[in-house]
Amino acid sequence: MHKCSKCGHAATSLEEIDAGCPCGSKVFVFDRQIAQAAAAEGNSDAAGAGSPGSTPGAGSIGAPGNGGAVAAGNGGNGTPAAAVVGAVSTFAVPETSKDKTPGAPEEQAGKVPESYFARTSFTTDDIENIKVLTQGVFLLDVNAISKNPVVLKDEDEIYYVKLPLVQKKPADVAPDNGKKE
Amino acid sequence: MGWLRGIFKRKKAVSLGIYGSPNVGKTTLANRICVDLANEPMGAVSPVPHETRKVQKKENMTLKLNGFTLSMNLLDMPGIAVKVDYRDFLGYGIDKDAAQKRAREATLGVVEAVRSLDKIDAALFVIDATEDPYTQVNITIIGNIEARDIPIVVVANKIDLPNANTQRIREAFPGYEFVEVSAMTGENLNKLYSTIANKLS
Repeated sequence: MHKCSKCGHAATSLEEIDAGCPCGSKVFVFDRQIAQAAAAEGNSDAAGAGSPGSTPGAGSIGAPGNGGAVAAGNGGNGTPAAAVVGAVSTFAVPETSKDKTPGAPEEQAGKVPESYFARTSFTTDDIENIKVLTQGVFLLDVNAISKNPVVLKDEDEIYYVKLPLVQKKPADVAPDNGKKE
Repeated sequence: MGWLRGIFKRKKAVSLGIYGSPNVGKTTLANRICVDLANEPMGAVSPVPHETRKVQKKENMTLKLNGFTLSMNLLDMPGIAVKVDYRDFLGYGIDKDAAQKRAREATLGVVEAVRSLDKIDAALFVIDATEDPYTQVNITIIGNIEARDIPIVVVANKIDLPNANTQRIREAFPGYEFVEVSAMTGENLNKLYSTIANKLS
């Protein structure tokens, strides 16, 4: 279940996230507790397509297992929403229309293919904090993104590093002079 | 500069980081300094970019010059780049899997080098005198070092090459301590040591 970060409005479908919240916000936060509660009540639609073992409704979106995922709507310009994911979590975003295999039974049922989960996740071994899944679709590691530098890995496995802007030395970091490792 | 002297009086050793883009001669310079001060080299050098992919550290070396004594830990940083493309390594006879592994390690090295900005007390920023100094890496990293109030010496390396142009480096980064050297031949290394001593004394 995704909630609008501004007004708390619950979005139950990708289309709703993609179009943005009625309040004008385009940022939705995945609420694991609500999703778990909904799943416990047998509401598979609320749990989302990504929940293992669930049978989601068409167009729904979700995160399997771990929370901390954020989906950002794009204001309805036709491209899919971006996914933002916490470390070691997975999050599924339906691929762009050109990447879809029309007529695939699992997609007709609104289910994201298993192979997609393998690609759309971060592990502790990943050094990048942004992945380009396909054109216009990004996966972001929310926990790591706040730390400089930002590292992006594109579809061709090429790394791009955004060097930090000029900044002062953090006050709480002490130099390691004279320390033995 | 009084506060700086105070810092170094209190500390046992100064952490001196060697920064710069890949293949500007950081490890060659580190090896030269380590051999001069500790009689042993720091690490391997290679024409293939990103040969140094982890921070190399040589501890407790002593620089003695004209009555000045400086104990320091030398940190040879991985080359900092804004793009690491495994395809750049394929031309050196490295297969795709090894090249992708090298690219991953190199990117990790860039991250480690940037994070190490918070751990150094002084920096040598090495620039290849045969290349254009107006790069994003040079400008950004020197800016970050400056913003952290870390003493910095800009080192124009590879002056032994015929197409070296140190003047444009001076013009690109005016106001910094500047030394032109050849880490390969050892030319002007004594001047570099003297500049370090003056900067940190």
